Amino acid sequence: MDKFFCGLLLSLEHRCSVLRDRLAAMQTDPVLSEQARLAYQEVEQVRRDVQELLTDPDLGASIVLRNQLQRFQRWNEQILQVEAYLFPLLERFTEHDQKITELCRHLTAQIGWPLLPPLVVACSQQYYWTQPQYNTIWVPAAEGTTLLGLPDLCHELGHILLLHHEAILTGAFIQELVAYILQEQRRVETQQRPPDYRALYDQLLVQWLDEWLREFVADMVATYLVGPAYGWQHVRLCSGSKRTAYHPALEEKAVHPADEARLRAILEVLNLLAPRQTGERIKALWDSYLAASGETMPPEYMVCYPDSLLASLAADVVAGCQTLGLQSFKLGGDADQNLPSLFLEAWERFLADPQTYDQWELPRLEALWKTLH
Amino acid sequence: MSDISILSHEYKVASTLSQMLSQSLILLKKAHYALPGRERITSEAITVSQRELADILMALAHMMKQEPSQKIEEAITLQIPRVLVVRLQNERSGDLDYYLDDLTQAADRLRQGIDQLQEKDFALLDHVAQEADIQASSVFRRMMRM
Repeated sequence: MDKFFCGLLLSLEHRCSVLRDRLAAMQTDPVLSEQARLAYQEVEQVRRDVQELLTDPDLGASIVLRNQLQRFQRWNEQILQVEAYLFPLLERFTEHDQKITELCRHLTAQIGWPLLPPLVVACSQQYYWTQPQYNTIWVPAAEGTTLLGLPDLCHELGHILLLHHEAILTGAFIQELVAYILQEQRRVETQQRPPDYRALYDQLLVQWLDEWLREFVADMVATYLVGPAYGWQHVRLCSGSKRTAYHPALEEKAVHPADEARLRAILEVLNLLAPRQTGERIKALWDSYLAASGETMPPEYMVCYPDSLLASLAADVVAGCQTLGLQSFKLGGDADQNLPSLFLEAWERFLADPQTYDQWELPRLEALWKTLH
Repeated sequence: MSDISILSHEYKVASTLSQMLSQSLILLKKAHYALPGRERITSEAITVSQRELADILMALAHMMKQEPSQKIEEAITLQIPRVLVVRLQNERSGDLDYYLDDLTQAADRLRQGIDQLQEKDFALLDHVAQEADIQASSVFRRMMRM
């Protein structure tokens, strides 16, 4: 094992050297400088750490070998991430990427974004996603050709914000969540729930804390930033793919919380920031979509996503956004000058008359791209 | 809206914990067992490792007790994946109280000094580090679709 482990380390060190030299030789666009610097620093740090371990007199000593192997695995994963998520972007950044990155920069300037604006890449194979630690967002190739989907950019901004300001955005919610789960588990003890529910509640807490909470916060940040436009886009996104609205329910697992619960999370933020009718209109469209799709709520579903928890989280996220100095959609102003207002106007136009929407949207898009260059 | 956004955050938490545990354990073992490489370690680095490991063990103990208290919140902010807590709870469900005592006592000895540490403390820390390692690898594979 000693010899093999040493070989693994040497191989990783060599890979780091190759990547570092490739990064050093790159003629990167100034817009890519943050990600190029991040990639270089990570690769070089891992190379130095590996080199240090290779010269460690305790390399392969039985008492620390397992821990050394764990460190090697994390380094290896780190380098695989740099290759997967940063190199394609740094070596293949196109005009389309440049344009949508510029749009995102305008958006972040208008909303009082407290961090460096992210880089946006328009070649995603998995709809919108982000790598928050690299400050990058990936979007579908033609996303800049319509205004309707762009509110989703703010959802990914929410993930990035969460990485840096988790405590500010979640407030006292975690305590409340734990208390809720304990309260449900006490119902098992008093025989108000079946005995096997105890483990299900443990699993529910795992899903909430490790995964769902992040998605709900990202949804709520997006709603704070672009308002009902994000709610309308959520209904559009759900209508365009066959994911059941109530999945996952109790006893089910998924990385994302249920689409229905996400809609209620969006509405909770709107209830705090907009007239009641705003949320009611979105809810009415959602209900008609659900009725058309024939989906029904499974038993015990609401135990997973009670309104009280979503309302508490919404209050914490809105307060957190305000603390961070983010500008809510309410203060957006003129749609000619402000992207969140433009997204909202686009949605109102689309809902009012989908037949003529394209005719309305095209000149706005042309004007927008002209402004950005 | 891809799973990657959530998984990348989840991986960051799991890998940071795993790296911290393995790095700190190596330092403490070098010092405690007087390995040849101990001369390269500063006393400051050892002190930091002792404190970080003690904090993790105390956070784990509070989270495993499931008390909706301020301490739970502090534990969460230390960024311990909840799935790891539940896995340990299930594994030690038969003797959970004893395990919580072990965690607390090991944390106390870490704070008292490296010479106070016992073999069973290192075994416990190694087990936690291994669970963190498993969690980090598992999330990484899901994220990278490996």
